[in-house]
Amino acid sequence: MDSTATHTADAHVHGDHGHHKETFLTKYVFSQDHKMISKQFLITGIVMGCFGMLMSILFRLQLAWPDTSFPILEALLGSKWAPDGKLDASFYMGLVTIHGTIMVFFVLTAGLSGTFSNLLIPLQVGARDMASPFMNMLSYWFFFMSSVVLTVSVFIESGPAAGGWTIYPPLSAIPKAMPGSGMGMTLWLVSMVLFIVSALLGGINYITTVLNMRTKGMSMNRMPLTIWAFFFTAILGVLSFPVLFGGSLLLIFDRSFGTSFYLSDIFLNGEGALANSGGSPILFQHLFWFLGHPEVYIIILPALGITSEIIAVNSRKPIFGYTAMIISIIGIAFLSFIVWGHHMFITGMNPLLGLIFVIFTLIIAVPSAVKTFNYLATLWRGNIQFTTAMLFAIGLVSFFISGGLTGIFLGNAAIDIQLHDTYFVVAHFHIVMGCAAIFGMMAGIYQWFPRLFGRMMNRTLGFMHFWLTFIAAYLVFFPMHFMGLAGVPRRYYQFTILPEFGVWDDVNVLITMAAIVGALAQLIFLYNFFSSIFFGKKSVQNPWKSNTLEWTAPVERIHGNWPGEIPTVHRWPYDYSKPGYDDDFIPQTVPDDGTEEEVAHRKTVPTMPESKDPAEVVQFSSLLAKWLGLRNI
Amino acid sequence: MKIRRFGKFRNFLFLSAAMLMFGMVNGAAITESITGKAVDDASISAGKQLFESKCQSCHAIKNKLVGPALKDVHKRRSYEWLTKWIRNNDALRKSGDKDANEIFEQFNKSVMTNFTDLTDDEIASLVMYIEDASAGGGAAKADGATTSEVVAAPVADKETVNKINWMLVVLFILIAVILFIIVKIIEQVSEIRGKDVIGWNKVNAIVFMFIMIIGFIAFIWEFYVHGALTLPEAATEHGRDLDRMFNITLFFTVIVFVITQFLLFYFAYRYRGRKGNKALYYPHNNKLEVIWTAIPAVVLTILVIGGLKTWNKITNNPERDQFNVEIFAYQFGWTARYPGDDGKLGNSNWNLISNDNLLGIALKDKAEALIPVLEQDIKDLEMQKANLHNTLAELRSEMGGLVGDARKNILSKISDIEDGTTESEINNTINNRKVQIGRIKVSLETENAKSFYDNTGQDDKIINNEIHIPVNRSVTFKFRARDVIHSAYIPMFRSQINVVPGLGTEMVFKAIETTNEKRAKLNDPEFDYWMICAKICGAAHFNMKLKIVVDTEEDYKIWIDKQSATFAKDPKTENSENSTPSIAIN
Repeated sequence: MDSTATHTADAHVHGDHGHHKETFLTKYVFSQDHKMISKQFLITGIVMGCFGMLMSILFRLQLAWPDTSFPILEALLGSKWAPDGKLDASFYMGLVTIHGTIMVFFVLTAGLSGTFSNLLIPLQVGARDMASPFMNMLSYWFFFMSSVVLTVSVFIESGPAAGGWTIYPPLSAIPKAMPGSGMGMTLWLVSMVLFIVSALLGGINYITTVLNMRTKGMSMNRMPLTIWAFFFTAILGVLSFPVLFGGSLLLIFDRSFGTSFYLSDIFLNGEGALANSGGSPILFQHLFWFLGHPEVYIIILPALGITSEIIAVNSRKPIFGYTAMIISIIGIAFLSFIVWGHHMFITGMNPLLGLIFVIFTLIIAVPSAVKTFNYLATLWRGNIQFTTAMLFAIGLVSFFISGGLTGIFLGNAAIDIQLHDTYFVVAHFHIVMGCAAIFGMMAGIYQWFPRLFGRMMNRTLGFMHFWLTFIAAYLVFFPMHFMGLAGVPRRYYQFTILPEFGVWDDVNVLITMAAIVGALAQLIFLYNFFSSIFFGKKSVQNPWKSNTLEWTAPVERIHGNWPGEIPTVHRWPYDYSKPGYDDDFIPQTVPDDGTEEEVAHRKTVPTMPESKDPAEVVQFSSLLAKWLGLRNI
Repeated sequence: MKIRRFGKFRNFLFLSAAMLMFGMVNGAAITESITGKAVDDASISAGKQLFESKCQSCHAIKNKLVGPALKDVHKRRSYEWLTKWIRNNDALRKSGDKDANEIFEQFNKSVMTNFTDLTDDEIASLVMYIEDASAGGGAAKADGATTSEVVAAPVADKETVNKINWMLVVLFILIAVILFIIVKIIEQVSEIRGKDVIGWNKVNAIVFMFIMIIGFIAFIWEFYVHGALTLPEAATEHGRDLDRMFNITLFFTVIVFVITQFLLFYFAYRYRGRKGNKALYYPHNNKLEVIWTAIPAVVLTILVIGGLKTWNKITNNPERDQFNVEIFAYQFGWTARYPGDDGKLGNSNWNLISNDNLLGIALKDKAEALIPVLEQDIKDLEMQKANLHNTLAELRSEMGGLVGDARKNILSKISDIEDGTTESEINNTINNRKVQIGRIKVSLETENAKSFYDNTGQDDKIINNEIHIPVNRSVTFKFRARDVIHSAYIPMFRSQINVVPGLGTEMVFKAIETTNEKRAKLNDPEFDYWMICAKICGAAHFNMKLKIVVDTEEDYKIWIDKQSATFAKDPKTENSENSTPSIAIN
């Protein structure tokens, strides 16, 4: 099945090559080449990311100095949204909402998964392009339209959607409930519908490509972990986004056609009792979180996949526990569909249902823990090359630990009663899916920049970028845990409601300063990224000495990826530092000389070489080591 | 807690200095008032109380919230106008008052409550309070919406802090620029020499170690400093269980956090790449993997079992419904309802909500009186619809000579009428009213009417701002939402539940420390328990609070006896029957 599919694609692309002359429009705008589409996703994602980050700085200013007037705000936002240089309360809500939407969907879903699924799936499985390049192009342009609509919604007169990125009705369903629930909400929903179309077109394409277009020898268990991660991400998206689509559609009906799916028993200020009755606002939350929870893994899985690859390459070691990693991905993907209720413990949902969601939620911690331990084991006794990508990958692991652990508090319904919708939650999800996923994305950008643009990014600027971002991110989000433990709720315009909250004023200033520093550090990245596209050092074909297939393609990035035959794969992608070879890497295309064991195929268990470093053998643990079969290491 | 004390002390100094400067003994910062009444402290503090109970959820002195900032409103409007507006802004707008309509448009047509029941004296004291607060008077510090006591720290001090902060940012930029230059130089040198001048692997590895040490110190510092600012011991029975569960989880997670982060950073340092080194080819170890699957599984099982026990205890409380209080949530506030002498909370329905019956309690006479009001409203709306073309002509004639926002407002009104938006909105409202009338009629006429209008609500006590509950008794809060989802969050009780329109939710707890006991324990005479909103519900979401006072049984009795039944049929209310219910309330 593999080979026929590949050959057909082969012939097709070759046929294409001779005939068409590419114009500017088909090469850079309506391109069907997965590498160009990947760049389009990446750059749109970066632009949206800057937009989202700028918003966070604006509302952080308000939180740190609620009484100070910033004339620049009035100049920037006008006197309606920042009268006297102070952010308007409604607009604050709008900023928070759009910041969340942009970051979750436009940067971390499309920008991360869109970029790297597009770039790496065909290149790493050995395909000329996606299964349907045309659909792939559509996927990007739907995403682009969706970005435009959302951006436009910020500038309309009644303001952007302001009910939080989770848009719970009735607040979002009744235009008169708040200013942002009018036109702003309509545009938000339109944008989301376009986005879902994009995600589905992309997702179906990724799944099809992985299943059908792998090159000869690329069996499923020889695929790099990146592909495994993208594959399951796409499956999650395809299964869960339609539910949000349905949910949004019903919300549109409620808003515009007088239905009552989510509305009942409402008396609205200025409108009187509404005729709507019989619906349930909680229904929307079920539909939303049925996407919303898998969405969290749609965000983090690609980042983890990228990290697995980068940590292995730069530790010059095979990823530890390849099979366990795949099983963890599958386990996480499956469990992510049955834990959505942990976002709703205190909605008045039946407590019995809460029990079940607690159990599944905490079970998810097990595969996550396995992944973390496997990363640590991969680093152990490696020969770690600190490329910028590697730094970001290690940063991801650090955030994944910190944020994952706080999830254990929130997943436990009893503790969630106290912590729900406080700053503890803000800290938790920003660390585990904000910072960790952004770091995964950054790691990916630094790692595959040579593949995207044929040039290298500046390494030392990369180091500066990493260290500043890493420290700033912890400074921003770590103190928020304690604010949450003090009972400070999220989405507050200012913390004046209780005198007790006054003690956090200084902390809020600290957080905002750190956020500004973090944002400035991204300028280093932007400079590095855009200047390297044009002036970066020319890349060699395989700059990181990596095993995977994408580095066997020429630097020139031709349409169809490989000039001649598609290479054949003979081994798994993690033969780094294999004993008996001069080089510390063996690309997947190097034929198996028959004496080799192949770990992925579990032919034999490899024997461990003698230890050369006596310091490694610690007396204390020798018994345990013996039992573990570690003694000879 | 230390910081807070200091803040208060600073504040105190600042205020005393201010008072000395103005040579005033009382808090008033004004000498005359547009109300024409003599300025006195009693009026101002009465005004302040009124402001906190009636206005604060939508207005602040300095900041624009749902409604405009009220600072210097007495300079913008006449006293007469203010009185009219506060008492019945609906009528004022309908009378065609230009200012009234303008402000209505400017604030996205958010309707303000009509306070028909306020007396002249009350309005005067309210205005006087606003005047005083605008002038920065002593009462201004109690403007809860804008400045808590700590926020009102001396201005000069804050500015210094800000300056230092901004200087830090500038310093950071400078360092970044210098680093950038150094980096460029190093690169140039490396290029000339043909190899790296700096062993970056080593540099990064050392930085990892350094950051780890600093990080762990900061981690301990965080627990020591910020950890001390977290909530004091829970004041409820289940809260203690919850805290115990939290601490158990904290214990395990801190261990895992320290070990894994240490290993991560240590490995990064220890196994940094060196020339000529080769990594260990070590792809898997099944036993090891089984172990580190099993350990988290066991720990999580412990946490799950503990968590579920606690959760069951909280949600399946056998003592529920022993002492019920209804809490009604709306944009943006809480109202409580206590059962009267019959011990029962009356039925209620959202269709019965009116200015006269804010909670929509099942009171037959009020329900009957509401029908003609709604019918009249339908007639008015029909009339408005029929007159749309006249309105359009009027708007067009008004437009001449107008510029800026005023012109834009009129233009948008015109376009709304022209494209049918206005008409469909009116139709929509008419439909709402018709359905509402139908429902009220059904409720009055069907067989269930007797059980629904059972008069148990007649003696209910409706209470705003501050409620009392007895200590050591299981209390059940029954929640009802008027408009959107809110979340009732009482941090000190470790209690939270969403308040969802159409879905009754409840919260059961037993407070075990009275407010006074807690105050003594914390050595803070101003400490209080509060219910706040934790679910985004609109612009003033950050400003919804209800004070909860936990009393001893005796004190509670004294307090509850003082509260009168809201709809008690005494001669006084009988006489004021002429105040008809109106629909648009806040």
